[in-house]
Amino acid sequence: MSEPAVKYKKLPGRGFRTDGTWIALSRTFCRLWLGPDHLLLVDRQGYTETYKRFYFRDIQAVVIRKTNRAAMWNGILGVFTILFGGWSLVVDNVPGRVVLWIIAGTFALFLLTNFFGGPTCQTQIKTAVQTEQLPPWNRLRTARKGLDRTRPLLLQAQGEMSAADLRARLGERLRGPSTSSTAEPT
Amino acid sequence: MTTGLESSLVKCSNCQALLFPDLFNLGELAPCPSCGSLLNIEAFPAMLQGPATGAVPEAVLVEGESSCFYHPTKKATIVCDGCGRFLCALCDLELNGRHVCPACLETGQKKAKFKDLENSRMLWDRLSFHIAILPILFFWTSLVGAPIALYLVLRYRKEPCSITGKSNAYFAAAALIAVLEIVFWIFFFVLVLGHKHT
Repeated sequence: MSEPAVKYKKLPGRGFRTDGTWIALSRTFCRLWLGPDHLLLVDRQGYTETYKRFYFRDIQAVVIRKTNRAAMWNGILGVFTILFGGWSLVVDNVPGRVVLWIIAGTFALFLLTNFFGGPTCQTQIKTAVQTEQLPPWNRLRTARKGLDRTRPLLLQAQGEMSAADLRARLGERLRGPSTSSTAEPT
Repeated sequence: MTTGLESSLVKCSNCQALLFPDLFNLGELAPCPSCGSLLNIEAFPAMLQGPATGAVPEAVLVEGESSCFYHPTKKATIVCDGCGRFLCALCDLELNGRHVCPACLETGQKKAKFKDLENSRMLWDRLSFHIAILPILFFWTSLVGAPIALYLVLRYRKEPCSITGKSNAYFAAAALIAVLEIVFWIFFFVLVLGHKHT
């Protein structure tokens, strides 16, 4: 009765799901994998992996929201880089200067990594009965790259439909000819 | 509960305002009309379908007609692929083209026979590897850690590890390191005890 193992392909991006308030009480490492008929979200905490499957036929939408987390970290890391870099210039003794340069260099390295990672985003996947965060798609570039790889499979499973056609049919179903673009949350 | 209409709407992940299809599939970031957050909404044809409705079993109308094992008043429509019991439309659970009853599904899930229902796994390979390499920080821990790591490798080497693909690299590395550590400790005790006796 047992089934053969499913082959998965790695999708771009990795991220963390944090639980807690403003301090992360626990961090779960997350990755997305592409299965033959579903997306697999793998949460790894310690030595346990938990899995969530999103079948291609059930995925209704992927919502990407640009966030300013990258810009905020650029600012913070930039301030520290300048602070320690500037301090190293006013210090007289060589060992102290070297230590400060190493600290400034470390901050600069993180700054460059964050800068070249591009803008950050928060991605959600929606099915008829749930909306789930996708922490691995936390950069706009990664989310778009992952979506580009997934889109053809989703359309293959659900049937091709042009964007305009889908908008029109959803519009017909939801509202009359003249209403605004938002509705109050229910 | 999600209604058919709500399932066709998307909420802004920042302000939770319901967004209408004007913003869908634009291919670029567009501001949420409510909070101004920049959104890229990729909608798919599944949005046109409402939530799935459950199957309704038919009642047994003719005496002697096959009935469901779990619901004797309901008509049997299919046979369970696992145990062969007759099932009504309500008890028929389809999984990858196979039809099973709730009992077989539960048994199969516990024994991890249905790959699609597995939602958690223990990574024994990584655990044994990390126990084996812990002595890099505190060498004395290998006195206890190496036998434990070796035990984990021998006990769980055939267990399925990550669902995304099994590699024996961690197990092999853990076994090698653990054996080396055990050999070291054997030599150490032989030398120390031998030195004390002489």
